[in-house]
Amino acid sequence: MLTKILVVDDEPQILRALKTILTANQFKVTTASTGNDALTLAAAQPPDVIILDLSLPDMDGLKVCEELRAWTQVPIIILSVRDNEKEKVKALDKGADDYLTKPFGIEELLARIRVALKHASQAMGIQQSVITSGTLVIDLSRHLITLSGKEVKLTATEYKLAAYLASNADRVLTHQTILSHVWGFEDSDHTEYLRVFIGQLRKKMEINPNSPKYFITEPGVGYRFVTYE
Amino acid sequence: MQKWDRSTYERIFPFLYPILAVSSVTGILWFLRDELNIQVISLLYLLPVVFISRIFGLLPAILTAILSFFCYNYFFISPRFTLAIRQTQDLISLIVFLIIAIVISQLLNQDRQNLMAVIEREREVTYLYELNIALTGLKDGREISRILAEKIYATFNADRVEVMIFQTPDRTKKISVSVGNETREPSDPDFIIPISTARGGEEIVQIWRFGLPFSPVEQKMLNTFARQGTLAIERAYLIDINNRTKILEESDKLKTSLLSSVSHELRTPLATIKAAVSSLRSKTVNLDAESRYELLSAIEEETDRLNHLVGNLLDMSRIESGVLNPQRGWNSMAEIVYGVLKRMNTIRQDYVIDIEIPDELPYVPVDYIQMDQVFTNLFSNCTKYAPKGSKITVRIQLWREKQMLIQVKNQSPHIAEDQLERIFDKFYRMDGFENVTGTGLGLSICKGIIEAHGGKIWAENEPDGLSFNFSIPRFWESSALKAVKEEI
Repeated sequence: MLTKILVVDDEPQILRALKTILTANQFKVTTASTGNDALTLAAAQPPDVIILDLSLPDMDGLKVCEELRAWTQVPIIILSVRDNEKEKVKALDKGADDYLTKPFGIEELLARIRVALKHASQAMGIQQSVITSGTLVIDLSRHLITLSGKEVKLTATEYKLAAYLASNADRVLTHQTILSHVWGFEDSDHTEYLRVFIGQLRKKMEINPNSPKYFITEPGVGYRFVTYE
Repeated sequence: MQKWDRSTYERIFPFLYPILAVSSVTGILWFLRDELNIQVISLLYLLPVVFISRIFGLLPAILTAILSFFCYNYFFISPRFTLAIRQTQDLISLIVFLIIAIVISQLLNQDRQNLMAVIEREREVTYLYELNIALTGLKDGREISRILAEKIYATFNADRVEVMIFQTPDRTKKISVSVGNETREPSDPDFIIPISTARGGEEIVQIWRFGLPFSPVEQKMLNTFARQGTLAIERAYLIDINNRTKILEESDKLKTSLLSSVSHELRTPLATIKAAVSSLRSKTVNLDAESRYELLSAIEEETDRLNHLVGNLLDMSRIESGVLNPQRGWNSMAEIVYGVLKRMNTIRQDYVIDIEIPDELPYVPVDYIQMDQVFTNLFSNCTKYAPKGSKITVRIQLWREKQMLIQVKNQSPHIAEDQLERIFDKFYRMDGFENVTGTGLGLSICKGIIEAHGGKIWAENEPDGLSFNFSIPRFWESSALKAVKEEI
């Protein structure tokens, strides 16, 4: 069965291009050009991924995101020309899974769709216990991290942070999300905490801590653990 | 010694009255000398002292007292017609008279001076009040200087007043206002008040008043007047600064909204182009021939759209810098309308187009490309606000004298009356339509073009929608052009 994608954008041209490209890539594409249409369609024919523009004629994309999250965990990828970090953080905190700024390359969008789909399936219970990225292996069941076969020694909090980022591999996580999951801080702006610990992780797990390969900073938004073949 | 002028006259004048008063009292008493005894006469001599002291002050009063003293002695104390005194009681009476006269004149004078001081102060307060009322609400330095000069001129009976204001320390910005005539040969002013302003500027008030020097009280008051002027100028300057700040804030807001809308407008077509191009050249994305065609035509259309946007921005800057000269030629308005509609595929597909153009419509002297731009912008405006499937009507007719009226009507929502004019402002976006894409340039460009053609554009709410109307003059010759320029 084909993967269903709902593309929501008020620009007919971008809908047209995305529909053509995604259809050619074996997705089943439905489109909506208003927020209300998007909500109706998402309920009538539940898609596997939603690509959502933030500026819609009838309502704000953030609001659509919020309403969808009230009843579905379908992955939402935000697509918008708004490139300010606050907007991104807001969208991600409202439950969006990822954020792509227009204009974007199609390969990048396809990659994000794949990551979103993978996580959606994991959320349904097929949790991966071993995450591999290049020479880095994170074994969640054995609490063991190895880099090029050598064990990496981490403190409890460092491990918790690494494990959380790795289990959300390739997804962007906002500062706030990480702080509340790893430290239990609600509504805090202790991003300096996070910066220090990410720095530790990079020192212990990156080959070159100054140009990290695995623990990537999303400027102004948060961090992303990137996996490689 | 100076010639007789006003001030000498005013100085001598009070001393003439004591002589007059004492001689008339002496005359009257002389006739009554047999009826009155010597004590009553001395009492009656106090009368002129009291009056003169009341009216002319201390010195004339003392003069009166002394004159009275001598007249009393000379005419009434025996032996008469000499200043000699025989009896001791006459001497005492004479001395007591002099003492009483002088004491009375002093007391009365003090009283008089107090009264005059009060009157003077009241006058001062009234003049200051009047000056303040006149200066209230003035925002212009020149106007303030003029009022100040006029008030000083009127209040101090000056012959000429000149107010100069240097608004900056380097004396580059200068305001100079003078009141009164300059018929006499140039002379140095009789009084100069220089005041530094808080911002390092300077205010200089120069006053000419011939023959009457300024008393210390007047000088004090002149200073106060000048200071009030400085305060008013400072206030005006602060108001001006405040207004400028507001304007700057507004233009800053405008720039921000322009940047965000332009970047949005530019990036949206770029997004489509990039998505299409990146998939066309991708090895992992499989596209069949039909999809490729689809993507390529999307790229082409979005390129046109970008081009249109850049054109709009350029036109706007041309209108801004006033170099939008229409290349007038005799063109058919109908041809332009049909041409635009032919090019705009989407509007033909999505709307019902109704064209009401008479067959025998005369040609009009317009710039073909600019008129094309006007219709393109008006139609693209329709597609943004009017619901799909609704009707767009284009009506052209001859109008008034030597004009052509063009109407583009659509079924979009009404616009509040107070916004009907503002929608033609640059970068103006209507409240409640933040999500409609656009830069807020389209209509202002239409306005710029139509006005460059000597026409007018306006919007009207219709029972079932909204109409954009514009008029274009049907004749435009070089002579007519000149005439219009001269009128301006």
